[in-house]
Amino acid sequence: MIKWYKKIKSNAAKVLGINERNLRLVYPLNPRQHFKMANDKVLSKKILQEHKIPVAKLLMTVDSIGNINTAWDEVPKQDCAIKPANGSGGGGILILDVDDNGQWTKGERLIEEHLIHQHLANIIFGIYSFGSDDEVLVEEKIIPHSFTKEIYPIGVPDLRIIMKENEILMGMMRVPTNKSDGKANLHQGAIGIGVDLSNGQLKKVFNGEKHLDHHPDTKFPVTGVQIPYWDKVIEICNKVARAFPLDYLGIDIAFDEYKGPLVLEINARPGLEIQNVNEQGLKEIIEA
Amino acid sequence: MRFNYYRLSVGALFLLPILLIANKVIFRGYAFENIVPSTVYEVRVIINLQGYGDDVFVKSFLPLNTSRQIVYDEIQESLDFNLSSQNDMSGRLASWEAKNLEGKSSITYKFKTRPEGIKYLLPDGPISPKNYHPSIASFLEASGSIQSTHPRIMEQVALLSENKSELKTILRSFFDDVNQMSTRPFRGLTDALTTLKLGEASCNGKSRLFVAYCRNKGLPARLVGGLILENGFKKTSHQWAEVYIANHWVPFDPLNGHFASIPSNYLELYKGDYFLFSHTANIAFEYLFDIKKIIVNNPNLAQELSGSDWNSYALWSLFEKAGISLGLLKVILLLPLGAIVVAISRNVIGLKTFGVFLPALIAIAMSYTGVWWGMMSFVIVIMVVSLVHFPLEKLGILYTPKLVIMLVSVVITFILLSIIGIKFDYTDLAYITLFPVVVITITAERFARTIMEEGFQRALVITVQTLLVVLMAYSAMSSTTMEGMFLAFPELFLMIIGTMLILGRWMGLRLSEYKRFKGLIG
Repeated sequence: MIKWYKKIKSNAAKVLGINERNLRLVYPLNPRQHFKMANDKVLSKKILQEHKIPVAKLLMTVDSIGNINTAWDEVPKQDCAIKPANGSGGGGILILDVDDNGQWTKGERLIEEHLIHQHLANIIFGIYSFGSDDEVLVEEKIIPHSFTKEIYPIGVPDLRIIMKENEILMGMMRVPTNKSDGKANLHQGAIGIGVDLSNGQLKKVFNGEKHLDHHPDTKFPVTGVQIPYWDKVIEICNKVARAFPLDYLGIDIAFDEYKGPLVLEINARPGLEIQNVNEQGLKEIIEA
Repeated sequence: MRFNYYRLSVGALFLLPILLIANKVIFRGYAFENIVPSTVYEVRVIINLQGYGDDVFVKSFLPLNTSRQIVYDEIQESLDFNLSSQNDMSGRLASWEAKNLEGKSSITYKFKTRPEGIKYLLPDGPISPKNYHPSIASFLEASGSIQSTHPRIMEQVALLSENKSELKTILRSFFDDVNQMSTRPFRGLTDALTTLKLGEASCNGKSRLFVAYCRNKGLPARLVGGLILENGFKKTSHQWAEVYIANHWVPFDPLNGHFASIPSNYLELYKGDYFLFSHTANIAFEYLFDIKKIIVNNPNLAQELSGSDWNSYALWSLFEKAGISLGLLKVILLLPLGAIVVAISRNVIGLKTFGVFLPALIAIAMSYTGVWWGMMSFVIVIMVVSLVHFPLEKLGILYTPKLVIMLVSVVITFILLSIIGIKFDYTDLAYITLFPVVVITITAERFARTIMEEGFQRALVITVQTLLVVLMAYSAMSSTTMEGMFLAFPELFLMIIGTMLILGRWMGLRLSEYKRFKGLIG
């Protein structure tokens, strides 16, 4: 009984909880006034570009209804993604492709120009950011890298890296599943895959309940797969850490078939589920 | 240095209220037993009768304030009867009179009472014959149903007090003799002699026999009539005895085995050998006691405390001039308590709730509708808002207008439910309109948003957890102990701040995180 209690106590001491994350990491390391740099996708993209950190190319931004028509006309005819700057959980993202005739399509169906305009207006009105006015950003569409397509063919998987004061603490790949409907969001049923930081190889898959060595839907054996451009990924993370006045960061990186690793977004309050995925507590690493 | 500053603040926030409370209790005469709530009984005497056109009266004894029982909030209701009452040796005799009563009628008499239990210590020494004052000496005489001079009783008294001279031992011997007799729920009156002959009786027979023994032995004794207070409906009243010892009337209940003591649920109605009710013969008559045990604060607390400074009642007397009710003041005073429950639920237990203070606000709403209708309202609103949410979402309606549409839907639903409730004579349903729709609509909107962002299952989980926190906040805020404490000692607010300063720096894992990371913790 006492042994069991001691074991629980010493193990619990390795795990980072929400209270401690906020008190020891987020509050002291991420000044509140700089949160905006992470939360606003347009602003964070600007900072990333200024520091020559690879991102999906920004094609256009617009923040007033009156400018929608002219702004949209400037967008080059290429596959792209329309996003709200302050959206969350993937809400309001519209992926557009260009077909052989040079027409905008959404999921292989033609989409009328006025519907696109309406979507832009909705974003600016704040439908996806709960009441506050928002800004639209249009960026080039990411072509998922073949290494992620092998694991699961739909959606854009990404790599989440946690950094504290220029040091990489932990990483995981987030891969969509049938349940998550193409989204790489753990809340919505995506899987997490632990990452061995020493060599960039994938460890085990975690589906929220148990650890596996393959993707639950495609059965593709994941464990041991090498993440491409690993050295470059580390270089990007270090650059990001220097570029932002936020010392406790979650960095989301997607892999483009042609352009390699691209930073998707920055998170000033990264989640804690990564500990379950990697079967290791963050506190154990911080205090080591 | 900053750390010390923090510790100093927390220490002061705990020490100061303790000192203030100590000051009030020790030097200003605040008594905890007056501040913390006590058990009070709400008694309804229901008399149903039918008249046949004649003049009618009903007489009964109403409870009096005595040293061991307070009676308050008395309300009598009767359409046909006039009530008059007068106090005499036996108690407060009430008389309801009606002229030419025809058909069914009723009288209800409602009051609250808080009796206390008392245990007497009997003096040592023998029974010493005394010259009692005539008013006391009359309780030595035999009567028609207390045949204290009958040879059979004399014989039994002699037997029971054989070789005994101590007052205590003789009383014990009398008491035990009556107490060990088997109990029969006889209806009507059993006299002392019959009780002795049969060796069994109900409360009145046993008490009469005990009184007869005492009188025979030269101890003034009398019957007492009253009510044993317990939750529920009852028809039976109770009788016990009192013996005059060392200038005190000391209670004995030989039926229920209370020797020189009286429990806290005995309500005294009259002294002497009477019936509780008497009435003219020309009516059909029936009575019933409806007794509810309730926990309330000392009804005199407001008066007792409003005289002294530094409590919420003093504040209230100030507010009263501006027309602010005590009820509102209580809600405001207890809101921080609800907030503490929410804070602990979220940061220590790890329960997820819609909004930070919404659960506390919903808990306040529940104090108007009761828990059951509060929960029902909550569920109904969640359902209505979910139904409205999805079409609005499809239409791409902006946030604020969407909220207004949801609110209107909820208001319409509540009004419809109230109308249905009133139409079908189900007035409970009408209470639903008391539920503050704005608070609950905002909660419901969060519910709908969570469905969108994190899925229906997750939204349901958070709803259940929100309700759980609401219930906890409600029980803390509706606790009469807490109410009494915060009204008397508003300095407890400082302790709330102190507690939150500690919680605000607490880095431990939330209980829910032990489950979330159970794979890591083992």
